[in-house]
Amino acid sequence: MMLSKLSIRNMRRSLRDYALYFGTLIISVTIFYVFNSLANQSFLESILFRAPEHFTANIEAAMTAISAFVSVLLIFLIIYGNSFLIKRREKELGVYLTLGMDRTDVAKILFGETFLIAVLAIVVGIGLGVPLSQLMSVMIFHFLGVYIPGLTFVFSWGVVFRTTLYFGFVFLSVSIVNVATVSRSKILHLLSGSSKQVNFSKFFGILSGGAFILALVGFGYWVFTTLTLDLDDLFGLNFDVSFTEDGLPVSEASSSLSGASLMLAFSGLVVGVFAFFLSLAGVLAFIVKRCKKITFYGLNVFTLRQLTRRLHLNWLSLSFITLMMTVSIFMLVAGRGTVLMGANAMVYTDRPFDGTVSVRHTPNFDALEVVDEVFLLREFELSGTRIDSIVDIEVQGWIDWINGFAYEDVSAIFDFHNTPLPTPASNEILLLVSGLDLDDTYLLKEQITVTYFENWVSRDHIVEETFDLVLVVVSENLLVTSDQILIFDQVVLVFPPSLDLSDMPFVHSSGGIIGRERNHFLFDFNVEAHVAEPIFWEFARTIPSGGWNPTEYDIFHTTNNNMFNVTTTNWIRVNSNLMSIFLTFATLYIGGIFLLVSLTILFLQQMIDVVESKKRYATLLQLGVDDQMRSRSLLAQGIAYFLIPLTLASLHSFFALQILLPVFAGEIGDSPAGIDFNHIVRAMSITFLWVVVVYLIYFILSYVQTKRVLDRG
Amino acid sequence: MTTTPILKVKNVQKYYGNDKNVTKAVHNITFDINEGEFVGIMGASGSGKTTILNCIATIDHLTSGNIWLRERSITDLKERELAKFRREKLGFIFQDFNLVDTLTVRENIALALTILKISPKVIDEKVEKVAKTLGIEATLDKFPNQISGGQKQRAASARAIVTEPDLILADEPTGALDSKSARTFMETLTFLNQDLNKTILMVTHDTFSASYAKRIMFIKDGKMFKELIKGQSETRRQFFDRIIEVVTLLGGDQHDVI
Ligand SMILES: Nc1ncnc2c1ncn2[C@@H]1O[C@H](COP(=O)(O)OP(=O)(O)OP(=O)(O)O)[C@@H](O)[C@H]1O
Ligand SMILES: [Mg+2]
Repeated sequence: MMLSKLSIRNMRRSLRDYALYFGTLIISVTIFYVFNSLANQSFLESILFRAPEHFTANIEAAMTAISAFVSVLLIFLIIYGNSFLIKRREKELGVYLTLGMDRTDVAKILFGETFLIAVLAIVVGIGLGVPLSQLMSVMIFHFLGVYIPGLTFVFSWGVVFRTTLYFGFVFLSVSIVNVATVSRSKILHLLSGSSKQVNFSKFFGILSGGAFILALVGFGYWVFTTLTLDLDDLFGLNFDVSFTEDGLPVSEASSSLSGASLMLAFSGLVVGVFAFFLSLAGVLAFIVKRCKKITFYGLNVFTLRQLTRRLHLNWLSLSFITLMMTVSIFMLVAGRGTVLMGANAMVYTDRPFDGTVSVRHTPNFDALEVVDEVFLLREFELSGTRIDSIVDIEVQGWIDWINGFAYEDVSAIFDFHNTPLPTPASNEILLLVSGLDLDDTYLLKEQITVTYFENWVSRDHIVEETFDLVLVVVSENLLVTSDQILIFDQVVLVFPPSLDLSDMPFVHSSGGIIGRERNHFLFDFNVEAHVAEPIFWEFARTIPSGGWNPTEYDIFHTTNNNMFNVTTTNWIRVNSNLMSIFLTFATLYIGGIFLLVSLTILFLQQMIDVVESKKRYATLLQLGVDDQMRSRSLLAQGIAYFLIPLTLASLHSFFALQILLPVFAGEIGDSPAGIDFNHIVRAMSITFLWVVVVYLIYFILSYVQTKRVLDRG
Repeated sequence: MTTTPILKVKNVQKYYGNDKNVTKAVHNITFDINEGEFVGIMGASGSGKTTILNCIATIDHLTSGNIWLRERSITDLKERELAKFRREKLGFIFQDFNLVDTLTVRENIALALTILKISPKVIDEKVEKVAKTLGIEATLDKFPNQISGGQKQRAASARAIVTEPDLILADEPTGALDSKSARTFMETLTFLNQDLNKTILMVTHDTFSASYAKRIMFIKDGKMFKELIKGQSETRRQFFDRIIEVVTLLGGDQHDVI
């Protein structure tokens, strides 16, 4: 009875003083819930269902790894925060013990408190998580401009159970740590509390000086490397190209020298951060001693000494916090840039149509009827072309399979867009490429050999014919406009009209043999994604005589070798943004948690410092310092304490970003044209500002809370 | 000399605790202190000496009664004015020193001046000078936890007198000093009192230290018990003997618990 009363009273006091910490606990539960409901529900499934297989496996592994990592981090935070809560009350607990209270009773008090906190955090956290997860799909649509079918977060007892189980486990392990702490520690230790003193010995001075120089060297190397790194080399994009006997290009990355120096630079960064914080207290103490002009004014000397002490006591955790925040800021900012780049890469957004249905069918299949039934009845607006008899040809022996088409079919598409297409001579094949692929090495080839059966029925006479390649550079939009096949192969062959393919019967082309495709029917439509997607979704599931083939990109098979192929602009966007969408979640998840955990630790340290310094502040009041001066000192300490890690982390993530900037700028890699670098930089700056805003919120709240504790004392 | 009291304490009461459990720490005390006086307060442990000092120093609030400093009632002052008063007019030597443990002795002493926003150079000179007077030059760059109790006491005293305040309140300033240091310190206080005309109110258990004062007030159970005034021609030795008499009368001996 009496014990639970004590617990509740204590907890109420702690809740008030450490509201920010408990707030973070609740937010952690919320984030955990939201991301677990994400992983648990149809979102991933719906993305993965159409995604390439290797991507599926990777994304699932990554999700699990990230969740595990975040979990461990949260356990640490809670144990850390809890040890602060215990420490704050060491004296009180010590008094209980001296009063003859049993150790097990004290342990019971602690257990009861942790239990109450756990219940509170889990209930409130999940309570917030449920509506927030409902908002997620809206947010994704808003920020990425894509509509993902199946992405509806419904309330799930499974996730609630998992969250409860998980955090129950976390709090239980924290409780065990608590009880172990209490039963091991001596009464005397509990009574004395903690008041570690900074010992500014000569050795300390030398250590600080050395560490400071080491920090400068580490930072210097890191900054120098990020600014001078050979990026082409680093990304392995400098290939020495040679061809094998079959004409296959062999690519080799030139060297990993840059990779090695980057690793070294990372070590420089990490070592530098640790050395920096190790040295900081000593350096500050040196300044305090030397610059009396600054320090002997108002409360400056007190402020600086307090800060020195705190930096000295917490140098290790500050180093970790700074590194964590560096990762956090980098992830959030670079993640934003990558997402934008993905979105910018979407020239497909210029597609004149919202979607295209193509049907490849055997001659006796009435494609139109099915299409009408499935799509037209739902009031899709039809526009664009209906093209029959496109012929696909695949030629093997190059870098990849490349699709070949009959001239008349391709020119039909070109005509539709009012773009002239040169007619190839009888010994020529057109090689259509988008501007971006001009660098690619297979363009060096001037001739191509195509192998096919002259007579399909008997298959007795194999013809080998050599054509001259005529390069035709086309706008990318044109290539991807109408048929999905053209989207993925940015290089397309167009055969001369003289090469008559129309008589060839249907075979599935393979092994360098030209085959006649089935009858091909195409039409484009305009309809908004959130209307179209569910219909296709349903179509894919309900089409009576077939199903979808999940290993291939949105191809719906029907029986009798009839193939439905539905492509929507939205889905192309989703598909091309797959990595971006995943990155958005991953960076928000990790970056966000890192940031919150870092800020909470800073808050806890600020709070414990005030609690331990109460007597010092009381002395100041007695000496005639008014509360305004005192608050200013507290504020100055807080600003410095919060600003140092933020500044360091911002600078380091800025330099880390230097490595990626050329990629964003389109100087490196296969970045598509039309990407607006300034836009990306602006968006990344705004993301950084958001980080600063979150930072500010935590800073202000922690100032308010510490000030309140101080005023009360 | 002058007759306007710098400090008027009238019917002051101070109770601690709640309705159920009241400690009457100060039970109706009235006295005046004139400008330039050196007054001692003696009394058994727990008789309310520190409480009175805290009330005068505006660190504690009165339960009832009134205190005037230079004819201004401090009970009417606002929090900020009180702070200004404390840092400009008052020097307080605390019974338990109250040195800031994160600051060196030098910085502790300087703190009293820096909050007055005096130029750093002047501060440095003043700190050196007062440290020399109290014999703690060698400890200036040490932290409080690195020096002895006596040194701490002198550091605390140095901090209280370095601003040359109008009113010095001292709570057991010689409690942790050996007799030689105690003598030096009391001579310093006497110098401040006689040559700089500073008013001093000092709590002490030590009869020897008390004998430096011009007037001694004895307190018992939070009430004024007796008052001794040093005669114009009386030697310190004679005054000392008279103090001993009252102390024995009070029932304690001169080595009362600190
Ligand atoms: N903050 C407080 N709360 C409750 N009671 C207090 C408080 N401070 C002092 N007292 C009580 O008031 C009475 C007077 O205390 P005070 O400190 O003034 O004594 P003192 O004369 O200075 O004693 P000493 O010579 O031991 O320093 C004591 O009984 C003490 O227990
Ligand atoms: Mg006392």
